[in-house]
Amino acid sequence: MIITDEILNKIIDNELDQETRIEAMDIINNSEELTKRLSALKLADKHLKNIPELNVSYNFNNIIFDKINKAAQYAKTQKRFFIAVFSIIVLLLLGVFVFFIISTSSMPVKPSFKIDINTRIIDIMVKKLEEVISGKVLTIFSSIISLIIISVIYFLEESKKIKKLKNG
Amino acid sequence: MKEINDVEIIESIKKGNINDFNLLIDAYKNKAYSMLKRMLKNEFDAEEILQDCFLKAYYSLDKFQYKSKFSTYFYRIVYNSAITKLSGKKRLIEQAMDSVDDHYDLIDESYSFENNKELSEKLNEIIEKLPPKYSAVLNLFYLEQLSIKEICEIMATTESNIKVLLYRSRNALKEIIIKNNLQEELI
Repeated sequence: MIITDEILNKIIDNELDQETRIEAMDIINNSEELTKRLSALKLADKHLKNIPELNVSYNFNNIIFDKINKAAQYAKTQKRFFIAVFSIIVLLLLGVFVFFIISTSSMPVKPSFKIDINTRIIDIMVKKLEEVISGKVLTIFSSIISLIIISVIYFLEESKKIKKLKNG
Repeated sequence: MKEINDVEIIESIKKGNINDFNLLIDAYKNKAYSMLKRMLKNEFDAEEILQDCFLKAYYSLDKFQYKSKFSTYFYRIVYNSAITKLSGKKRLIEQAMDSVDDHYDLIDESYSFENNKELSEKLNEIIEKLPPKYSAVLNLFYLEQLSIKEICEIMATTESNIKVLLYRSRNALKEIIIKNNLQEELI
C-alpha cells in the first residue's frame, strides 16, 4: 500500500475500514517521514477545528429589521395608492357611463320609422365618437387616459422599489 | 436540538412573530459572515451580501418546506450569493485560475516560529488567503460542522470534489508545519 496524502486525510476523517486502517498505520509507524506527515496533518486539522469565527457589526440585526420594515411600509403605501387610483378610475368611468346613458336616452327616435337596434347603437356611438374627438369630452378622456398611464408607471416604479428593498 | 429550534422559530415567524427572526439572525450571522468574508476577501461586501441573504431567507420563509435543514437552505443562499458577487466583479475568473497550489509560495518562504501563537497566526493568514471555494468548504466543515453530504448540497457539487478541496486546504497547512518541523513539539 502506498500512503498518499489522500489516505492520510482519510485517517484523519476516520474514513478507512478497520483492516485498511491497521495496515496503513503499520506502514506509517515504521516510517519516520510518514509519521511526520501524519502528525503535521493532525496539527493542521486541530488548527482548523479552532478556525476563528468573525463578527458582524453590532447593529447588524437592526439594519435588517429596518430594511424589512421599510419594505413593508412601501407595500402598504403602494396598496393604498392602488386602491385610491382604482376608485378614481371607477368613479370616472361610472360618470362617463352615466353621461352616455343620459345622452342616448334624450335622443329623439322617429316612432314611425322602425330601425334595427344595432344600427341605432352604431349610429349613436359614431355620433358620440365625433363629439369626443371634436368636443370638450376629449379633454375628459385624455385626462382619464393620462391618469391611468401615470398610475401604471408609478405602480411599476413602486413595485421595483419594493422588490429592490426585499432583495436588500 | 438546533434543528428543532430552527423549525420552531420559523413556525413562530410564519405565525406573525417577526421579531423571532432575530433568533435566526443571531444563530447564523457570524458563521455565515466568516464564510463570506473569507470567500470575498472584503468585509463590506461580506456584510452587505449577508444582509441580502437574510432578507431573501426572510421573504422566502413561507415557501420553505422543511425538505432540507434550514442551515443547508440558508448556506445555499449565502454560497450562491457569494459566487454571484464574485462573478459579477469578474473576480471569479481570476479566482478560478488561482488554485490552492498557488499558495505554496507561502510555504516556500522560510518561517521561524518561536511559539504556537506565531504559527497559529501564520496558519490563519493562509486560511484567509485561500481561494473562495476552499474557504467555503473549510468554513462549512469546521466552523458550521456540516457533513460532507450537506456541503455537497450547498455547493451543488460531488462528494469527491468537496473532499479534494478539503484535503488540499489541509495539505497546504500541513506543508507549512512540516517545513518548520513543528509537528512533533506541538502535538
